[in-house]
Amino acid sequence: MPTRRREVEVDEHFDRNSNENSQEFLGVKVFENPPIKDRLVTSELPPTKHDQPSLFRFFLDGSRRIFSIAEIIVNKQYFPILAGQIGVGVVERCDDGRLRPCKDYCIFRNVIVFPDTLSEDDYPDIKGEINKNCRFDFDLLQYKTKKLKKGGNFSDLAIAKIMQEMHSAEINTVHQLAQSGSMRDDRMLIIDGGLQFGDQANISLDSFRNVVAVAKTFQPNVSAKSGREKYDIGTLAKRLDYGDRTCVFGQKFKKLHLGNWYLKLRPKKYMDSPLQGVAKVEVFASDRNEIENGIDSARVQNISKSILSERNVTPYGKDARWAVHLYPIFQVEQYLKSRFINSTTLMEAF
Amino acid sequence: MSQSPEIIGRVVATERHPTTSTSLKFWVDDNVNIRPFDIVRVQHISKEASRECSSSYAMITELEYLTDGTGFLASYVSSDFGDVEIQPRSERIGTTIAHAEVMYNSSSIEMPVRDGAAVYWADADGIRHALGLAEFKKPVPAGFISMTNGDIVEVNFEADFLIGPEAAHLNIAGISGLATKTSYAMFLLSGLQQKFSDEVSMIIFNVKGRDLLSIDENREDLDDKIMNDWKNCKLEPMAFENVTYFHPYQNEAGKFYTQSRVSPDTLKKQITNGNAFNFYYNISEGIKRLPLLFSDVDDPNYTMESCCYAASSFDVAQWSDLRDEVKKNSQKGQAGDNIPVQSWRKFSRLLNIRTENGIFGELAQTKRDERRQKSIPEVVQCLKPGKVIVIDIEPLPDYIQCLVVGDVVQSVLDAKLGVLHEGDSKNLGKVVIFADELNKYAPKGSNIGRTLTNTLLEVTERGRSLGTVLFGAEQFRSGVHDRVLGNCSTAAFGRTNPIETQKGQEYRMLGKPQLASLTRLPKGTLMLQHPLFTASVIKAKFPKPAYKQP
Repeated sequence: MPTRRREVEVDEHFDRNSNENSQEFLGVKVFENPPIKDRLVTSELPPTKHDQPSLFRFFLDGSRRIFSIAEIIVNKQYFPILAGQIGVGVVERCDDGRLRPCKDYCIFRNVIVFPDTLSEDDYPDIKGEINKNCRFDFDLLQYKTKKLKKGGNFSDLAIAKIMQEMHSAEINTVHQLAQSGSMRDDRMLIIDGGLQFGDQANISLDSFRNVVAVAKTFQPNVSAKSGREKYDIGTLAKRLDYGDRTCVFGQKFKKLHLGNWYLKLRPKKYMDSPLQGVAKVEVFASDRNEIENGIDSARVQNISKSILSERNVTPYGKDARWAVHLYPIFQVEQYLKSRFINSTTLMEAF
Repeated sequence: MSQSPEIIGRVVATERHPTTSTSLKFWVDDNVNIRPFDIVRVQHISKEASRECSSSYAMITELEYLTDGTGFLASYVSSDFGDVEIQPRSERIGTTIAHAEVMYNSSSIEMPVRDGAAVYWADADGIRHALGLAEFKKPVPAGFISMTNGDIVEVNFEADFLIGPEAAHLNIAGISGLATKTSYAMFLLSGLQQKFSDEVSMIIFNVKGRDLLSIDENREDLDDKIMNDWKNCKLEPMAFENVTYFHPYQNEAGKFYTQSRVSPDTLKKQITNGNAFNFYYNISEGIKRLPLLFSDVDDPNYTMESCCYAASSFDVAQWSDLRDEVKKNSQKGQAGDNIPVQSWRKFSRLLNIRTENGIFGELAQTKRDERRQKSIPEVVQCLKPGKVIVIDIEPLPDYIQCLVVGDVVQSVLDAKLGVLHEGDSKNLGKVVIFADELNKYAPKGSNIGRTLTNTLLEVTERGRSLGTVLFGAEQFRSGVHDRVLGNCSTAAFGRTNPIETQKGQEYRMLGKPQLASLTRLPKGTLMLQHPLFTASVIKAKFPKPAYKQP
């Protein structure tokens, strides 16, 4: 097979927040009940004090590494074959402030994605052959070549398939945590990124009631509506100083109603740019009242205060996104990285 | 042990911090309490693939705690840019890293330990093998290691390397007031008496108060802890046996003809038991040792030595005769032997002052039963294996202490060489001489020709072949003659101060963490160095004395 084996850089646009500007949204409008006074930005919030318990107990992040390992020719056309490592990590913060991985809820999988031009009948033989010659077990996946859009390539489809698997794994982990009874109103889960998973159909709102997504990056040029006026999210976020938040903006993504707002975790004077230190917080509207009237303002305040209290310690000096990177999430990332198979080792398996 | 041992950490080998044949690092389980000098067992590869894993043993040399914080600023920023009241919600991830010195492998494998190897507490048998103690043929109890997990491991010296013939001599250093130096020497001597009574005799100088003047009486407050500590060393908590005391003579019947500060009751008891005598200097013995009487006097031109040599040929019957004779030489025009009058005058002046003490007296030669007096050669002839002689020099001025110590050591050497009496050498057994304040007798950088220093050099350089062993102690090693120290095969380091550790080469063989530990060693704890130990030093405890404390 002629392809040079290499690790594939996955663009940010594959992240969950990438869906912000997609056509799936039915508009961004103020979605808070009751609306805050000036309707757009609150004054400084006090963070939850150290001696008061935080709302958050669990922290989840998903990660993947993707490798181009080979190409096959079917009907004189080249199709890429990609391998990937998928990891979902959950960390629990104990009462003494220590972090420990919840091993029962962590998932690590190795996958190989083939084009659907290859007969599924051959999969058992291929899988048997690969796993026989390799130290690691691989699951075989398939990408639909018919989904290729104009200007795209088959690698994007394969990568999207791996991302979809990772999102499914994240959703499954949340379901398991919820079903185990570990998550409660006062033992909530922070998930890194957003809640706009590709396959929303699998999401049960009951499981995601106590889940809050915190994203380190967001699209600043999204427009939001308030009555007849239009606002630019980036412009609003620039006005925020430490402890300030915007009002909640509502979005409907597929069949689910989302509320998101922007929260400033650090004083402006210490930041290099106006948007540094601003986190995007996202929750699902959890009941009929919220779906119809917007996210409960008191709930938003409580969540915001608890997130503010998560601002320390920081991975300052280790991660450029330190100002908005929650330390437990940073640790989940580290944990996932440490558990992944070394890239060279993995590529040498083929 | 049916239960599998508990893993307390895992070895880490990284690009920047690889393991080596002699060192390793491991992270420590958060719930484990460990400290420098603890010994751990590390799982290692086997010699042959089919065999069980081997075990490497390593001693902790340093502990450090590290977090993922990149620097001080990370901490500052994490406190809301310098708010000292801030308490972060999450604890920064961190772990304790133990540095350890590899001492031994059960399969003689010298390959570096592998990354991720399991670390366990070492068992007592393993530790003894690891330190080389299990191979000792004639072990001398030297204390015990008290591990943080509560395990106790007996520590020994090899007799052939402590009291000869392979190597010999011990030096103990440490600041005073911690009851460590003397107590440790006495503990070792007690061990020698209990284990080698048919081989070793001992001479002990009492230089402080009544410290060593009732070592044959049992301690009154001997509690369980002390007894257990003795048992940890496989010794009986008992006072010395077969002890004879020699107090400095003084012609005063009311004080039992002694200037010793021993309590009258104790002295009476000793006299009743027949184990208390007084030592003195008559002119015939004393005149031979005159150079020792002036060993502290600066004598760059050897004039004092010449005077001593000249005086030794005087035909005198009493100390007063000697003083008169010397005085005659001090007169103008009387000086002989090419020694200037000024030198005779200085010699005369010092002789008059230094022989005023009560131990210089011929009267002691009469009423021998009542006065119980003995000259130093007679004292030395009392020695035999298993016997302990305590010579009380505490009441004497420094220069007479030097005389007595030098005289005793020289007399032992003479006896060993058969100069005193034929056959002495076999009767004495191996003679261990314990002298505290060694810096006084063999100071560092002392001029060549100092009689006492030369005597001690002779013991340390040639004593082991003659069966004469020096146990010396001092506050500061840097104050003792280099060659005397260099000849001591075994060293014990007690607590000392940082200035002393910075001073000289004596402490260079200790690593930084060991030096730091040295400045805060608790009472009753020492660092031991012995030629047969596989570790550079061992931190060991020893029991409190089992004899009566004044």
